[in-house]
Amino acid sequence: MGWRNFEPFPMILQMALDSVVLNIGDLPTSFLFSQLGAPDELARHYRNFLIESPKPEAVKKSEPRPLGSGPSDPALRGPLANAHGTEFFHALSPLWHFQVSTAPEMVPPEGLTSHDVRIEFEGRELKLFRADFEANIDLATCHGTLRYTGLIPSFENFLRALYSVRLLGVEGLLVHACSIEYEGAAHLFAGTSGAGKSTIARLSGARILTDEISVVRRDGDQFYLYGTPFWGELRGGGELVRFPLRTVNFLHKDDATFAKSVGLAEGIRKLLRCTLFFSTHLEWRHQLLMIAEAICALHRCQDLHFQQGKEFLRLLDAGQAIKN
Amino acid sequence: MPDKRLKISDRIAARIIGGETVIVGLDDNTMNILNDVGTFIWERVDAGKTLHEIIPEICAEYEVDEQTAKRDTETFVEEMLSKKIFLESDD
Repeated sequence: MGWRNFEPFPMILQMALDSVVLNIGDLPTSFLFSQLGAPDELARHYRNFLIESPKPEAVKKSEPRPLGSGPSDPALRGPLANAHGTEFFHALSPLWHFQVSTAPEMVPPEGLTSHDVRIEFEGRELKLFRADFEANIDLATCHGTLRYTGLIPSFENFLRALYSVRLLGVEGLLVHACSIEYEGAAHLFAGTSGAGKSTIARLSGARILTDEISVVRRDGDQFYLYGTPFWGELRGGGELVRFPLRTVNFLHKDDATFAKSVGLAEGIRKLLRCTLFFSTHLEWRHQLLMIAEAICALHRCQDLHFQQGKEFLRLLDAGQAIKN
Repeated sequence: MPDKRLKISDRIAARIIGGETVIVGLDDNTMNILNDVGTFIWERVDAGKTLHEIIPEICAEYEVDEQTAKRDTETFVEEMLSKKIFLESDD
């Protein structure tokens, strides 16, 4: 019985020692480390999102859409068309690869403060910078390099920047939001810091997909919320699961519990206010806007005022009375 | 200002949705929503019309007198210019 006592994560040992493949939002990314043993800490931290390196034919296609085709619903499509963006989205591969190195002392790029993320897209190369990481990837081959400090927060900052871009190609967003699964459906609770994301997750008693950064993306005709490794106060490990999105809620701590429906334009504004996106690329912003429109048009959006207790859960059921 | 031609900045992304316009700034992450009157003006600025041309259309559409339409439209345009959503056109 002994070995389990000494190795709490035996699965990790069965995987390659110098590489990890993480699957976030059904978009796997492979990280190959230059030093043996370097990924052990990452593998432990992201243990619930590790997958074995997928064979190309086994990887689920992400159904990338050219930029400008917009949401799948023809009624929600926009008139955009841009060769630059199209090139990017056609280049999306089911699996991206990064050769990783670490540099404890990193020099931030000129003009970048410690919390700024810069994302550049030139030709076929995507570059991502922050004070604690720098990465680039050739979108024709989907191979690139990553240099980070070697610390988990630095790697996590990179993942957030990377997935804010990758999700765009599959009609997905990274949102400052808590996600729960309740009676088979997923519910998004968006809010900035202090809005009550962790509180509502805790109060729900439901399965928590994340209490901090949610992944929402379309697959076919349906948007889903995915389990993520991006957590806040609750520091959960996350799960590699997804559930169909039912409601989009904007959080307000209050001394009463009620919901007010939110109009489409206002819903989009509120959702985008909580969306993580760092690029100033015009066409990508248009894509972001169209994805938010599709999410808000296809789901119930509401301002959710809540107090302590589970009473808010009844406001997630379809057909419940909503204050207008 | 009435004869000045305006244009919409190329540093914003915008969508007209249900009669309202959602505007996202690229450089400062600001977001604005225009109501139906703002959207009415937006569409005409986008079409290259001057305020001189737009104000009579507002009077006709919203049954408002010219003085009120002129005052409110100029206030709106000033705000859009200050937010760099509208720019003065060189054309």
